[in-house]
Formats: sequence, structure tokens, C-alpha cells
Amino acid sequence: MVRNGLMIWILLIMSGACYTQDRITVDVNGWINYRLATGALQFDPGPNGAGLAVGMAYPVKGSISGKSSVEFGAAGTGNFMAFTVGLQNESRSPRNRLVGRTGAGVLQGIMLYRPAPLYVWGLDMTSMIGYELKNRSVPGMFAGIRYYGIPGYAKISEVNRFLDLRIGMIYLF
Amino acid sequence: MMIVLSCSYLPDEEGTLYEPKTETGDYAIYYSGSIQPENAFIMIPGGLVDPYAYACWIRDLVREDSSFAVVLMKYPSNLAIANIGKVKKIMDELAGFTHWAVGGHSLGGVVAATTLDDNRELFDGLVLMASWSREAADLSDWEGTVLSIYASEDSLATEEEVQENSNFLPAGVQIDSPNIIPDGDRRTYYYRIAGGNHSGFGCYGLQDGDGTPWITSEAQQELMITVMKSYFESLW
Repeated sequence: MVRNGLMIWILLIMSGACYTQDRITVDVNGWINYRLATGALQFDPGPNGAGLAVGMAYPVKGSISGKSSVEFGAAGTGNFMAFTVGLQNESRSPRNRLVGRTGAGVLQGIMLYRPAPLYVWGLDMTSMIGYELKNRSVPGMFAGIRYYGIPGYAKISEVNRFLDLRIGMIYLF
Repeated sequence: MMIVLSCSYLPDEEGTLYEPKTETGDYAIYYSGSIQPENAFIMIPGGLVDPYAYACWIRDLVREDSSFAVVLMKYPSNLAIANIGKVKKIMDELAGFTHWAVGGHSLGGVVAATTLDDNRELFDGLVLMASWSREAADLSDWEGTVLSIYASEDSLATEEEVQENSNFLPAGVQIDSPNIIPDGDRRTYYYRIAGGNHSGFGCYGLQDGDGTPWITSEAQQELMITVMKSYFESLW
């Protein structure tokens, strides 16, 4: 069962070259974070907040699309607001209506602090799989990893960089 | 609006750079000396206050008394109320400690009282700073002792609110001096800091809506340290 699922996923990603994204899509997604490591990748597991985002994907070339999103959540040392930009490969299997996306992005944002916010940066990789409905919208799930840091927090604590596993739900319009 | 309400108070300069003995994404542990004590006090930060805003006085507390450690809890949203079960999980992880007390500031104190109510047999003591227990965590029949510290100029957790909610703690006694003297069946010690305010329980500047203190936060924290040391001596 798991092996078949993985095979479908891999086939979808590999078949991306045959598919051309032809329209802009908008998505909403929500996720929970599970911390894998902190600092210079010391193993430090534990729940680590959650987030919500509104995103957009736009055709670039062939199956490659650009993506951007605005997000709000709690992670690492506090609450944050950020935007991400990146690229992704989209694959579709019209026969069984499956949609897959795998991409990478860069995060820039602020940790919401008083008296002044702190800058946060991050890198992430995400894969999603969804099922295309008749109205072309796609509910799905995604998983990914994100490494992020809050340089200004270094004067407060050595724990200012995090590696999180993100698991969530997504809805493409 | 949501963004403004999500901002956490960072420690001011005096609250930074106090290195704990151990630090993870979930907690920081402070103690003096090279041997980990058997006793630990778990400190839960107030809502939307960065945990290190309490490091300024925690450092002085453990420096003056090496018989216990302080485990400073961390929460991703800086809202302990969103994860009440976390303290128990961390206690299970920190097997080196054998005696526990729990406490917190403001909303952190409410979480501390709730945690204690859920795990009564695990704790020897409870420290409430500008906080109280509530009906859902009625500790009036708990057999341990409680230290409740509050401040006269606190506009966010007023003296009246502390008194109104005293029914949910064991019967109490007001102490004028920061030296605890066990008093029979009266097991909650109320200590009022004249001139102190809500923000003075940490080092993060003046919190919105708080009263104006007429003593410095250093003076307030010196009194806190004295009464807490005395309380922990009576406990352990």
C-alpha cells in the first residue's frame, strides 16, 4: 500500500515534463510543524507550532511554475508573518485526476515582537498531492521541511535556528 | 489587529545573555554549581512574553541557592495556555529531578495551577506571580503549600482579583515579611509587593495597560527572590 503510494507519487513527479501548467492557481493551506533539530542541526524533536498561508502559482515554462505565498503562524521562538517565493514542478495524471507538486522556496519575514519585530529567513522544500475535482479545484495534502533562523534572537538564546517537518492540508482553486 | 495581538514582549537588554546550563527548543535549565540538584522549579512565562524575559531574576535566584534548578518553559506561540500538557511531557523527559514545584506569571500561573490540578501527586509546591487558580482547577483541598505573589500597582492582575479567586487555593495567610513561617492549616502564603506592577515580574519593559510602579523592577525582583528562596527552603 505504502509502496504503491510512493510509486504513484514518483511517477507523477517524473511525468511533469509532459504537463504544461496553463493557468494561475490560488491556494490556501494550513499546517503543523514538528521540530526535528535546532541550532547547527542538533536533534531536538518536538511539536513546534502551526501556520496558515494563502499562495499563488503562475506558469513559467512547461511544468515549472513560480509560487509565492503570504503566511502567518507560530514557529520557533514566537509568532511570525512572512512571504515565500520559489519554483515548483507540477505533474498531473488526467486519467486518475491526481495532481502533484514538488518545489522549493525562500522565506522572508518578521517575528512579531515588541518593542520591534525581528527578521526571520528560511528555506523550504515541499511536496503535495491532491485530487482534481470536476470544478478544477484540488484538495490535497502536503509535507515538507523548512530550515529557518532568527538572527536577531542570537543575543537572547543560542536556540535561534530550527529545522521543522511541516505536514498540512492544501486547497487549490 | 490579529498581528498586533500576536506580538510577544522581548526581554530588555538586562534580560539577555544569561546562559542556561541546558537549552533546547522546549526549555532552558538554570542552576548554580556543577552538579544538577534533585529539586526543580518549573517556570511558565506569561502570555505573549518571551521566556527569557524572566532570565534576569532566575539567574539571581539560582545563584543564591544551589539546592534547586529552574526549568524555564518555552512555547512556540509564547502562549502556554495553548499547550497545557507540555509541562508533564517535559517532566517525563527530565528524569534527573525527583522533587518538583511549578509556577508561572500571569496566564502562565493559570497554566501552572491547571497542570498541578491534573497531576497533584507530582508536585510539592505552586508559585503564582500576579495570577490565581480558577474554578476548573480548584486546589482548595490540595495538601501542598502555595506561594502567591502580587503587586499593588498591577492593573492587569489586580489585588482584588487575587483575593476574589483565593477560594480556589488552600486557605491562606498574608505575610508581611518575605520570610515564610509555616502556619498550620493555612497553606497559601500571600505576599504583596508594595509599589510593584505586572511587568516587574519580568524584564520586558512596561506592558500595555499596566499600572505605574513606584519601585524599580530590580527592587520588585529582589523581593520576589527573597520570598521564593524562603518558600523553597520550607518546601525542600
